[in-house]
Amino acid sequence: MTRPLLDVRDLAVTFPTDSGPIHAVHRMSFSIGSGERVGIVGESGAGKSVAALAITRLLAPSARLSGQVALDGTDLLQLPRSQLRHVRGERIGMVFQDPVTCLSPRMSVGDQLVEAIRAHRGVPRRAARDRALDLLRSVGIPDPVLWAKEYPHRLSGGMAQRVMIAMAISCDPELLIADEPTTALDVTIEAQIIDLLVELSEERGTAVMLITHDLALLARFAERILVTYAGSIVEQGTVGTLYGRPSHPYTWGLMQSVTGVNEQRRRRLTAIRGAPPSARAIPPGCAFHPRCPYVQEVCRREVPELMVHGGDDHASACHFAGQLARPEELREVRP
Amino acid sequence: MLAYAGRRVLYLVPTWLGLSLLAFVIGDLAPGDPVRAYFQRTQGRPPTEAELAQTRVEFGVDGSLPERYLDWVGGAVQGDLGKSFSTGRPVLDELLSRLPATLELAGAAMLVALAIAVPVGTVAALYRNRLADQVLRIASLLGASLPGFFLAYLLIMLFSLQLGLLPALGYGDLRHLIMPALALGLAESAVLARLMRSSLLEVLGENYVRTARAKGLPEWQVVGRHGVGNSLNAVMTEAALAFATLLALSAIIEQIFVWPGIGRLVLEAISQRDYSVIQGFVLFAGTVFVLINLAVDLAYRWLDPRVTLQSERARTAVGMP
Repeated sequence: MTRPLLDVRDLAVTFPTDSGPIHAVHRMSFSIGSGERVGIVGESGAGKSVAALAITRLLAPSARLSGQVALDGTDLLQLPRSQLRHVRGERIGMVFQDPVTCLSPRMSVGDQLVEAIRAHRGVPRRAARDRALDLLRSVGIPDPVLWAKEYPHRLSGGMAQRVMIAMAISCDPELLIADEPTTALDVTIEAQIIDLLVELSEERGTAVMLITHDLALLARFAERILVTYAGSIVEQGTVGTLYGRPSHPYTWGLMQSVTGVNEQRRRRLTAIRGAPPSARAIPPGCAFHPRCPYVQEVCRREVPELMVHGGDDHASACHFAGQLARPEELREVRP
Repeated sequence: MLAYAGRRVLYLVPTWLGLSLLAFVIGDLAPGDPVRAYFQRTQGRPPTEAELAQTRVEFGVDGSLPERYLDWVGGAVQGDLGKSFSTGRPVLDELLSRLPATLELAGAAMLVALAIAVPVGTVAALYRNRLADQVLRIASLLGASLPGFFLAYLLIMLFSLQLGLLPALGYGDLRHLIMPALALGLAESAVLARLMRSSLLEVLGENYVRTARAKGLPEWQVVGRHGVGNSLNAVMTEAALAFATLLALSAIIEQIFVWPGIGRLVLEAISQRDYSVIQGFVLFAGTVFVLINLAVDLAYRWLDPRVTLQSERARTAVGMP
């Protein structure tokens, strides 16, 4: 197998606080291939955003990082700070949620794009400006000359997110990390933004890592899905295998709580009982065991490893992966 | 925006009338008879009753208290603040002739304050709760609590007496300006530096600063352009308001450095019981203070694009063009 573009090994993020450490990310391992679209899904507090920020080391200085984040073989966690800026924006572009607040309030949209381009490309201002207009056009902003002069507060959420995406891809990064880019946007705008990400990824061959709490959203986006719970990955697989043969009880729970528009038959929409654990006190053994309907004695004691047990690298961190019978209503449902 | 400005200007009228009443009554009720003293000083003998009445008419201070007040306010509105009891010249001319020196001093002091406060506040924010921050915090506390006159004498001792670098008093070129400006501006710089620190810390936590880092900008651009640039708003507002205070505070510093400004004029007026100058000054300074407040408030709304947007939305919401 060729070397993946991004290879995250045993990534752990801890925030020391006065009332003890918070383990936001707990030995997370995954990889993203060149040009691949990967979705990371999980409830809020599952550590997915922290993991994303840890990759480019954008977390507060108090965060303790360990493990490895290899981009094309270079460990970003070991990179000197001075080198880091040549990764950010140039090799890894980032898009966040709440786009209007992510743009600098007193600088025009065009100037912010020019700034991003000129941070990595020694091009003259005029050339950067032309490129900025091209970028705005390519993310579907009508009349870019006009909008480039505008200030962020004049933009709608959808427009602002398009600008953020334009900025993130301005230096043709190999990887784009989108952290809940459509949270707080209208559903129709959400679909447009996701489609735009797919389109850009296919046109430019950019790998995209999309972080979301919405499993259904990933159906139209991802090639591969990682399911996170309490700071760890509990299941991963291609869209086909994960939707077709989900094997972790938590993933089943997630799927049962998703509504589908074109469902063949009525089914009961169920919520996962209980609440996700606090990052201060992750349960021993399998972190999901207090909420799992199939819990056994071993689950309370031993941490299950993420192990491949099916085709297409389908892996699940459950002691009984592949042995438990899926709930009846999930057999025909695909979100 | 216009409606707002109009409303604000309208509010000024009662404020200003109250201010004028206070300024007038304080001067008028003070003990001693400045008219009698003026006659005595200029003619070298006590006035007769007839001469006294004649001089009162000359100064426009005859009649009952309400009459005198209305007369004075009416004149003030037209730029006539009466005549000085010590020189006999119009009070407004006296004030205006001394204004440039005071403005020069206060302006220089404000520049000193900002030139110190912005970098100091920035460093304190970047090294939050570390050694540099603690040292600057203590220095700020010292700077804010040192009285200006004390600092002034320290400066004179060091730069004039010990080093012989700067003139200890007088008005003239830039070298005369340095010490008074430092003495007046340093205390204000301490306050502004604390504000700069907290303002920058708040901005550095904003999402757009994270974006600036995620873009791969060099850290100096992240902090300078997106951090400091967006923190200056609060600092400049405070600085403009503090400018009015500096104008008032300058009296002591002007006295020490023999600086021919308004503050010194007023101190002289106080020692000579020149009530018309004192009244005129209180009204003048109060008016400047109120006007600066108004200008800051309007400029703030004018400059911040987000605020104008809201008023535009409000206008369209009520169907205005």
